[in-house]
Amino acid sequence: MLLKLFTKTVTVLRFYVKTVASYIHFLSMMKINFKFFFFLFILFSFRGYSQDTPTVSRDENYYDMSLEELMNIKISVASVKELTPRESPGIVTLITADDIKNFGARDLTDVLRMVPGFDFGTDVEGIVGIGVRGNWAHEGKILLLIDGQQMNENLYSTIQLGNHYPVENIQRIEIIRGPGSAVYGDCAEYAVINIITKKAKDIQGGGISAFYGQTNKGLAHRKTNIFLGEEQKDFSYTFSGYLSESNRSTEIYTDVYGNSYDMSDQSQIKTANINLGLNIKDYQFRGIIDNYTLNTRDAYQQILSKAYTMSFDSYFFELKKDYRINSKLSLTPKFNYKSQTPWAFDNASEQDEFERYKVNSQQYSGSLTASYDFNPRLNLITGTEYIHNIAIQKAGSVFYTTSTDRLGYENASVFAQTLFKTRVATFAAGARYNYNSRYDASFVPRFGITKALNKFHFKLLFSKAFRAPNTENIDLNPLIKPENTRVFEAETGYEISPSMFITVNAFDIVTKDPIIYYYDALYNDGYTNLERTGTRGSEVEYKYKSSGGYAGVNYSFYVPSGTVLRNYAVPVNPDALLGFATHKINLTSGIKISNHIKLNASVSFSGPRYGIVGLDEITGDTIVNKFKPVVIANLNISYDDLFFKGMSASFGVYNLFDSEEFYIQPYNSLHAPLPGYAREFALKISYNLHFNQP
Amino acid sequence: MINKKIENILSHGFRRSKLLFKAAVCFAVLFLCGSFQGNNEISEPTIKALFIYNFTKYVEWPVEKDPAHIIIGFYGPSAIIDELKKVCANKKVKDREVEIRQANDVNEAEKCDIFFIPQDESADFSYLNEQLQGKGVLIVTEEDGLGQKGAAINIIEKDDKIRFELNEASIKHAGLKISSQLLALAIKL
Repeated sequence: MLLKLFTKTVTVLRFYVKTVASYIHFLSMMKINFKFFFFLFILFSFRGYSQDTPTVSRDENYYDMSLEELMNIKISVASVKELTPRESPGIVTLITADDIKNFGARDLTDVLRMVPGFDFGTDVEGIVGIGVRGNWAHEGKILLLIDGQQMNENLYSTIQLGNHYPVENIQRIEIIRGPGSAVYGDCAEYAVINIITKKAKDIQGGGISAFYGQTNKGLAHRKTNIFLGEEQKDFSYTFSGYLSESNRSTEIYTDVYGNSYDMSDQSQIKTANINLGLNIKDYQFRGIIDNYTLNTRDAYQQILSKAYTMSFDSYFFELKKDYRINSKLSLTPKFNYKSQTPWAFDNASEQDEFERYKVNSQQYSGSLTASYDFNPRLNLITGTEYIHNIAIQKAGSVFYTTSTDRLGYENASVFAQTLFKTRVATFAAGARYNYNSRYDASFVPRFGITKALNKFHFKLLFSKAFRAPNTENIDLNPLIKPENTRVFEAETGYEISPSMFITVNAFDIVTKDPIIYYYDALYNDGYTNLERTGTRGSEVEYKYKSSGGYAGVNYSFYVPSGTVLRNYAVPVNPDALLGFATHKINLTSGIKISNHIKLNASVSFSGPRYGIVGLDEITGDTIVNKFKPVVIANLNISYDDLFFKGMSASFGVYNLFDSEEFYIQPYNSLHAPLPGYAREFALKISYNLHFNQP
Repeated sequence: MINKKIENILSHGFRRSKLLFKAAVCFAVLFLCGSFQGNNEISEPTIKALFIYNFTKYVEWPVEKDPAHIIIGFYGPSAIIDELKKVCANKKVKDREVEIRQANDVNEAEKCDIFFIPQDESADFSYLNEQLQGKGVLIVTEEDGLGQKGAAINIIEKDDKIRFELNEASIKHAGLKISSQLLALAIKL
């Protein structure tokens, strides 16, 4: 008991020492004297104190004013905390629960497909990941948060898409189509997908839904979801449970050697997901259990003799509390625990063909974030975070680096961001310094200027971002370095009317020392830092929304920036990168036929893409094919309050034209393109009950 | 390695000239921040919250949907909500407390006495206005032009001050009565 207490005390002390040490290191890097910061702190504290009392009393005076008196008061510019998407320092896409319902989205892939610049590719072993603005972002370059929990697995930092994360309980998705490392840290290099599920006050009741979809060759999806939520005075809870089963595809897969198999019964995906949120006074708890299993036969290059079951088990727990010290200062301490066993295959009897792999990764992290409003227009958010990672071999292997069954490392970081809203423009500046116990530190600053001027808005953004090597990157290459990205973005938008909006942006991305995965014809694989990669391009988005319907169109375009890495290069076209179309157009539209019936259509058009389909028998060179443009069109008709209040039904046709959809590997590792879904017909029934309904 | 860095920094010493320069920058920044804070200014959400609170004093509803509360519903998120909560804390209007809640659909909106549509949600105004006709709901908006389109009260900004447009026809259709004092202060449509 004493020993345990001692160990815990030492751990806590280590945390603080490392935190302080990383602050010191950060300051030294900024070449700023300690005493200057102490001086600054005193000044700000003094100013904060001096402002506090008069502000409160001033507001209270206003509270008793009559309408006539209020009409003579001048308004100040809005608080920086109330920045609209037009003013926020980022290229942002917001997707609401209504949008998801209108799309008839089967899973997150259906939602993200319609986001400008987003696309999908295949990795290995039947896994599908995300590309952003022409760049393969699957491994640690895009951050997926669900209710604040980082979904990227801890061994390779990947996100696995395809009938995975439930969309039924989402309240909104905030997507930053650009770097977010300064605020979010690791993985937020090219984009951040922040999913916020429905809060108790949004639910105040419960619901259940069932979905069944079929292609002409067999089952595509079947899934069920249940959710509950209630808010009382000092207590609220939300709960959701989700079960699903699907086939990755019902088409034929052919590897680079010409071997084929029918995916109908050999690409099954099963997902179980539980999400629990509890709020007791100011304490907030979140627990998520996510189990994703899939049958895979495509492996790395040559197909296997049969399908094997691989699993991704994840557990996330978070406890945090918001301390409101005064009207200006709030503190949020947060503790997280994450345990993941991704890419696991642990059947000893079948290990000859498909290698056993089971590594459990555990992450303990603590953070303290402070938010201070100097005045309504100047806000500072600063904080510190400590993360301890430990990976444990569970299938009898050892790590190359440690020669034991354990490999651990630590990250300590400090970050700060300030938003300053003036009548001229809104200014944002921020930075994060990340210290790691096994590789070089990273420092990523960020600056932004935004301005909303009547119907127009303008944004100029500069960000640096990093991807920290993860457990397997370190183990396969102990000399690995973090990769660093810098991005320039400019956006302008015009509000044609309250119902119509158009935005145009341009971006330039350069990643130095990119961490590249390779798997060659001699079956060698690993990670290495190469020179540089990147893209530049543009995105245009138009949206229209009225009470009778909505319409939207977006176009995205990229070209490679600088010399193209061999791993991403298309030999016949230097203006494209493997896997992703340089031109992509998405269309969404919906019309309200009656108070109960809505008809929605979405079309995603991808221009020509390039992918490796085979090996030249004589030279051994890869054969790259140009894939013709693809049109994925979906139709969805929904009927609300069917038979009785709260019951809804929707019928959808997905991939209406039965186009040949492929997930192409966006890097040269000899995995052939993985087929997607054929035309699917699906029915969804749901029932929602509100507790406070009369 | 990190310990060495700490030692280096601690032994680095104090450079007076740099400190003075940084202190000057610091003062300049603080002065700049302070200069933006006018003496007779108030944030837009706060003043709009005060306007909405004051409207409750001048409107008569034909039926009290909840005898103990005047219910103000918000269609979606708005910075005004928190301000309105502060304004209405421990206050009563005509012996009724003011309750602020989210009303994200027509069914919820019908239960409100005042229904506020934030600027970002203005695209849904026509539909909501149509559905709430004759339901005893005072629709308040904050988008230029919505007063003309039928919002009972439309809060607008003019010369850095808040004004409100009042659509008498819409108030009549909603089945509400307003005091002549409110009418006198409004921009009549």
